[in-house]
Amino acid sequence: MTGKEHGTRNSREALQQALARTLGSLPARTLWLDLDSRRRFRGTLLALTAGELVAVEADDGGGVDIRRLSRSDIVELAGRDRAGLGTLEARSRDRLLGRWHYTVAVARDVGRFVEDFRRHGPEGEGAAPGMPGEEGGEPEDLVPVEKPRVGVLFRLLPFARPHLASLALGVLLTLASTGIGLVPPLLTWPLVDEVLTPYQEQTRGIREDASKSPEEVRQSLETLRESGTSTFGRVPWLLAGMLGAAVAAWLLSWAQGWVLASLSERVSAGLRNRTYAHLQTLSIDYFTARRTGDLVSRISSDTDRICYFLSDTLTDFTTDLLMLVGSAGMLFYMDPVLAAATLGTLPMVFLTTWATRKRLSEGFLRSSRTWAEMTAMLADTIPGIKVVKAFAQERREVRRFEEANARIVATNNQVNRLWTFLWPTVGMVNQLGVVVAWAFGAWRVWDQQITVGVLTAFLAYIARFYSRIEAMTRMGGSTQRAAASAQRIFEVLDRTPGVPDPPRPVAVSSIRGEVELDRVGFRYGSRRVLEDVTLRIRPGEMVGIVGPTGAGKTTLLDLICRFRDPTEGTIRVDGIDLRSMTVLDYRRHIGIVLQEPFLFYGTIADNIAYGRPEATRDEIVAAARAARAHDFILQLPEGYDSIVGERGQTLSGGERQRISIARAILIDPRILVLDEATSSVDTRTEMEIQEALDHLVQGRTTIAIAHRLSTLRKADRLVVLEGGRVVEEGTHEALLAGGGLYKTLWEAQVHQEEQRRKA
Amino acid sequence: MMDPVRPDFEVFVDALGRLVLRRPDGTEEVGVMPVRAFPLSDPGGLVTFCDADGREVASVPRLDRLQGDDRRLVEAEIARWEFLPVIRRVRSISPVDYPSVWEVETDRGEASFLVPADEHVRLVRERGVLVTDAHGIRWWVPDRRALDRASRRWLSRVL
Repeated sequence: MTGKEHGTRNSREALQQALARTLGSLPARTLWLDLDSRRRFRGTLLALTAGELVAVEADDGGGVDIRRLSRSDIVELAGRDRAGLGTLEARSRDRLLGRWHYTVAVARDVGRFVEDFRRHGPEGEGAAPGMPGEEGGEPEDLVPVEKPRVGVLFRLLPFARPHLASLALGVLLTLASTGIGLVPPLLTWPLVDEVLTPYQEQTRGIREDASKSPEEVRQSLETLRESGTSTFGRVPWLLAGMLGAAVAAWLLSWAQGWVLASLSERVSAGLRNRTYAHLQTLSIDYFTARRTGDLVSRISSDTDRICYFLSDTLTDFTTDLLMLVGSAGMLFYMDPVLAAATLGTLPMVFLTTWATRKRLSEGFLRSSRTWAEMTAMLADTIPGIKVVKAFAQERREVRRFEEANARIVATNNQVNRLWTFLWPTVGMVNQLGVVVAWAFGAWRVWDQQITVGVLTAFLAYIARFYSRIEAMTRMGGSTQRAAASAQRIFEVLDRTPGVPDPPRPVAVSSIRGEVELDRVGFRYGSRRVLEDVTLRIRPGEMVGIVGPTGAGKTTLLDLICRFRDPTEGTIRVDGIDLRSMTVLDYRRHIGIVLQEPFLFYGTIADNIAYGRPEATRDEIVAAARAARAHDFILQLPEGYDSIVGERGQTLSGGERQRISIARAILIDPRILVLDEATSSVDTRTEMEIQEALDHLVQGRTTIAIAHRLSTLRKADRLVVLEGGRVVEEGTHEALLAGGGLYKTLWEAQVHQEEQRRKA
Repeated sequence: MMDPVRPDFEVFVDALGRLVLRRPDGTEEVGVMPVRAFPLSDPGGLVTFCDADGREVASVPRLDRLQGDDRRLVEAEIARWEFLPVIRRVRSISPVDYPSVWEVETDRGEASFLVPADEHVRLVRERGVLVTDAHGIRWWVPDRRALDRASRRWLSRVL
C-alpha cells in the first residue's frame, strides 16, 4: 500500500460486493471516497447508474448502509475542499440530500465523477495518478582553499579559554591513559627474564646433563615441573597486571575521548556563534560579493571540520606524541645504545614526509578547487532549473557535470598517487627500523649487554613507536584541511563591520521623519555612483525617485537606510547626523518594502511580527487587514499559523509582498522606503498592492523608487536622477511641463503601455 | 471592528445545509465558512466568516463571545471544515529518509500516507507534531510524549 489513498482495501472490496449484490451488477462508473460519513478511514463507495446515485458505506454493526438517490432529484452535486478534507454535497431544489467526505488524495477522482454526473454519461474510467515525491536536497557548497597554514590553528586556542577546566581534565586523562598504555610491554620484561628464560635454561641443563640416564632426566624434569609452580607463581600477577593495565587504559581513554569530544563540540559551537554574530554585523557589500553557499559552508561545514579535527585528529595526535615520547623514554631507559641505533631510521621518516609535504598540500588545494568548481555548478543550475528545462539543456548540464566530476577524479588521482606512496614508504622505513632493532638487539644479547627479556620488551615498544609514527603521517591531510577551514573562518572574523557604530551614540527615542541629504556622494571602489546629491524631505512627505537604470536610485535608498555610509557629505534625520546614532536605534524607525519580498521560514504571524516580535495577535491581524493580506491568509489551512518562507507554503508574489507590507505597517515607522515594491507583479496584483501601500504611506515620510512612473503619481514630489546626479525636481505636472528627462521617460512609458494594450 | 462583547449578527443553517449569517439590517450572507485565524496557536481566538470567494464578511474576536446555540453551531461548522486526524500510534515509517511512507493508527482508523520531505514534519509548541503529507492533508500528534514507546521511537528518528 502506498501513501496515495487511505482506508483499507478490504473495506473497499466488501463495499463493492455489497453494491453488486444490491444492484445485480457493479456499475461502470463508481467513485471510491476514502472516508465514511463520519470521516473515518473506512470509505464510501458511490456509484452512478442510469437513474440513481448510490452510496454504500459500512455501518457500525458490521453490515453495510446503502442510500439510493434518484438522479432526477439532484439539481446540484458539488465538491469543495479545504485543508485536505473534501466534502461532496448533493442538493435538491430545496434541501440537502446527501453529504460525503473524502481526502484530497482522491479529489481528482471526485472531480471526474462530478463531471460525469453532469454530462449524464455513466461511462469513463479514472484512476488517480500517483503522486511523485518531491526531492529535497541542497548542494554542499565548498570553495577553494587559499594557501592553508597550519599555524592558523593556534588561533583557535582563545576559544578554549572558557573551558579551561575540562581542557585540563582532558590533558590529565590523556597523560594517564598514555602512561598506563606503556605498562604492558614493561611487564613482559620480568616475565621473560625472571620466569621463562631461567626455567628454559634449567630444563635445557637437565636434558643436556650427560651424567644422567634418560629415566633420571625424566624424573628431574618432573621434579622441576613440580617446583616450577613457585617460579611461575608470579605469572598470574604479571598477567593480571597486563590485563589491569589494558582495562585501565580502556576506561581512561574512554573518559579522555568523552571529555575532549564534548570540549571540542563546545569550542566549535562557540566558534560558530562568534562567526554568525560577526557575520550579522558585516555590511551588505560583503554579502553581495560572496556566494551564499560559501558563507553557509564557512559556518556549517568548516566549523564542523574543525570540531572533527579537535576531537579526533588533535586528540589522537597528542596521544600519539605522548606515546612516542614515552616509548622513546622507555627504549633509552632499557638500553640507550640499542635505542640510538634503532631510532637512527627516524630521520628517514621525517625526510620522506618533509619531501612530499609541499606537493601534498598543493594537491589538496587543487583537489578542493575542482570540488568547488563542481559545487559552484550545482549551486548555479539547481536554482536555475526552470531555465535549464525551458531551454531543454538537461543533457548539456549533465555533460558539464560529468566533465567537472572527471576533473575531480583526475586531480584526486594525482594526490592519491603521492599519498598512497607516502604511507607505505613510511611503513617500509619503519619495518626497516624493526629489522635494525632485531639485528642490533641480537648483537647486544650476544655481547651480553642485555637480556632476552629486555629485547622482547624493547621490540614491543618499538612496534608501538612505529605504529604511532605511521598514524601521525596519516593525520597530515586532515590537519591541512582543518587549517584551511580555520583560515576561512578567521577571514570572516577579521573583517570589520561595514557600518560601525559611533563610540558615543546620540540616543534617539522618537523621530519626526525629516530627512536631509547634504551634498552626498558615494563611490563604489573607483566608480562614482552618486555625486553632490542635496535633498530635503519634510516629515510626512512622499518623494518618488525616478531615473534610468544605473542612475544610482537604489544606492540612494541604501544610504538613507544606512546599509552603507556615504563617502562624501552627510545625511541628517531630524537634523542629527546618521553616523552619530547607532544603526539599530535608527532602523527601528524605518520600514522597508523591497522588490523581492523576503519571508523567513516560520509562521505568517511570525513573519508579520518580524520587526516587533512582542506584537499581539490583534495587532498582527490589524496590520494584515490594512495590508489587504487578511483574506488570503485565512484561505491557508492553518491561517496565521501557516508556515511560509523558503520551502514552506508557496505564496504568489503579490501575496508575499502584502505580507511584507503588513510587516512594515506593524512597526509603524516614521520613514518608509519602497524599493520597486510593485515592479515584479502583474497589473492586477499591482493594484492590490497599491491599495495596501496607499494605506501604509499616509502620514509617513516616504521615499519610493518605482519603475512604472504611474505608481508614483501620488508622490508630493519627484526627483529625477541621472548618472548619480539630481537633474530635475518637482511635481509630476511641473516636470511634464518642463520638458526634460522626466517627460521623455514618461512619454516612452505611456507609448509602451499603449502598444501593450493594442497587442 | 465589531462590538467587543457580542457580535451584531446571528447565524443559522438553512434547509440546504448552508451556514447563513444575518446582520441586524436584515442582509444575509449565504454559505459562509467560519475559519479560525490561529488554529494552532490560539484555537479559541479570532474566527472569521468567509464567503465563497474567500473574502471576510464578518468576524468574532473570540469564539466564546458567541452565545449558546450560535456558538455550538459555529463550532460544529468549524469542526466540519477542519480535518485533522489525530495520530494515536505510529506503526512504521519507512524509509526513515524522505520521501517516506507512514503507517499510523488515528482516531479515524488506520491509514498510511506519504511524507515528501523533512519540512513537512513540524514541531508545534514543544510537544505537538504536525505532519503534512504529499496531498496537503495534515496529521496531528497533540503530545508526542503521550504516545507509546514504539511510536515515540519512530518519531524521534524523523524529528
